[in-house]
Amino acid sequence: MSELLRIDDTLWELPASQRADMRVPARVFADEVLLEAILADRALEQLQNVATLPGIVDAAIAMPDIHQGYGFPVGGVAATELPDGVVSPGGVGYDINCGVRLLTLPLSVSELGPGRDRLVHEISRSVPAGTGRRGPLLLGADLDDVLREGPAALVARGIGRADDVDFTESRGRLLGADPAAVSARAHDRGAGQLGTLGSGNHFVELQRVEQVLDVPAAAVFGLAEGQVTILIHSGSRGLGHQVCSDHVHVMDSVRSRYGIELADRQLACAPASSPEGRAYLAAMAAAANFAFANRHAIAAAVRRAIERILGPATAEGTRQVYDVAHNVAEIERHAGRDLLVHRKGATRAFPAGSEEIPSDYREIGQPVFIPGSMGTASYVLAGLPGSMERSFGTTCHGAGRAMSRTRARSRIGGAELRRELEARGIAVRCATNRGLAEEAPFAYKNVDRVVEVVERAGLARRVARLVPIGVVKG
Amino acid sequence: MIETDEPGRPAQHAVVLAAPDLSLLLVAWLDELIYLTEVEDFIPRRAERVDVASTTLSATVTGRRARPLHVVKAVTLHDLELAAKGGAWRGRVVLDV
Repeated sequence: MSELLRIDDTLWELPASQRADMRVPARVFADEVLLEAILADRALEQLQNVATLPGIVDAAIAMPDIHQGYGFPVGGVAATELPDGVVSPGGVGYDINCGVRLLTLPLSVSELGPGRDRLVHEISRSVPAGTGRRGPLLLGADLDDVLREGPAALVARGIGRADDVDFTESRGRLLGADPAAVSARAHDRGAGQLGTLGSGNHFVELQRVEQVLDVPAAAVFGLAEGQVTILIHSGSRGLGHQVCSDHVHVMDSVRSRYGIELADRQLACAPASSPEGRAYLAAMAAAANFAFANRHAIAAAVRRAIERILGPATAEGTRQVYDVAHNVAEIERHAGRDLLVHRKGATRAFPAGSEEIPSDYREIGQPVFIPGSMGTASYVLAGLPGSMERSFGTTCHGAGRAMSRTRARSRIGGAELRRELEARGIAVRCATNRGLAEEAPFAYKNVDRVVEVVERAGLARRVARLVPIGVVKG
Repeated sequence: MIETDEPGRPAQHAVVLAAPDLSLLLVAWLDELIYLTEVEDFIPRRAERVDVASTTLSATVTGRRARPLHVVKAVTLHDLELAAKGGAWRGRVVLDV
């Protein structure tokens, strides 16, 4: 990577001339410190592989939280021009529409007082975590309605609130979803998992708004210093994992038909206009709608927990700020072109004025939520015009891993980490100590630095900094 | 790959798989175990009567019915390798956890 060129304060480039198979340059947003961490794994090599995809335009782009993934790096963005540019299921990832939803409670941390521990405990009892068929919403045939319509299908069945749907990216429904494109195995895996957190880095976190950094924007988003918030991080569970697996295999089997050569088999792809491309996009949209509905159902369970511990008025006053996807491919228009924008571990961050943003927020920009590692800060951002000019309307999605789960477990035991977090005033509920250790704060990059970079790059600006006071980990 | 803290009662599943080549057959085998664990609450312990040809596999998997604590998400094709060397097969499969 000795030929990494510095373009400006926060942007670096690997020119397309570095490899014969690169169609466009690979660009990464970072500062010197983050770049050093990024260079520690194969993330930029993987970004160069992405730059070889047929139909890719402008550049393969990496956010400052980039880290090595499977084929496509996490924190990567690739836009392919329609109709013949490719779609790559690996460019979305296994957890289709993994994303984040932020709720605000109508009270401050001091008003919450000792109710904190009881609330964290009640949320842990109300939201099934871990793996398997643990969900309370066994919908049977109704599952297909969820795949087509997303959370609106749950509202129609009395689950959750209609105003939550209004404050969800794409109003919780990607168009073109077709349940028939979702395999029977994926249906089986999803049937009992609606309303469940999952494992890995998924969580429900109780937080305090520590600092408001943009007063007018925070006021519009309904955030005030000292306020209690709840951040929900989950995705499409086994259903999405199976959709990705199914379609990676299909595309792997047909790539020679389309004359596609790949540096990594996990980048398997097909023209978006091909039968295989259309089938994946229909199944991916269905899985994305399932994920929006999953977070909607989790939010409904959280409100019920709030009602039991803090009363109906507090539950009624608990409002959804927004819900964002960070693993998805969407058809968007950029610079007069119809593009398929793959975001894998990257968040849409459209600027003020976009019709994709709810009218209440349209003068501010799209809300973006950036969870830090467990025990560190999270951020609320708002999209800026620079995102449209430089990154296909995209910003980062988190702190980004700095070490593997195995290495994290070798550095600290789960019980020790639990004690450390609780000593810092963070109530912790987690099914296994092993799972807790894998998400230790030191296993991630510094989230403060990551969001400073995206702000300096003009992709999104900081609105508020949130710190954890309790966490239920999947 | 799969953890549980429950003893569970004994169970078994017959598995029949086909794939375009041996490396994808290995992926399909692991995919099947994930599916059985996640959907059937089946913790596999041993494969018996295993019959592997170039593109097909059949086996009886015995194990326990119990609630899994951890299951991998998926079996990737990233850096997938399987080759015969010195009378043995060696493979590498990267799992998404």
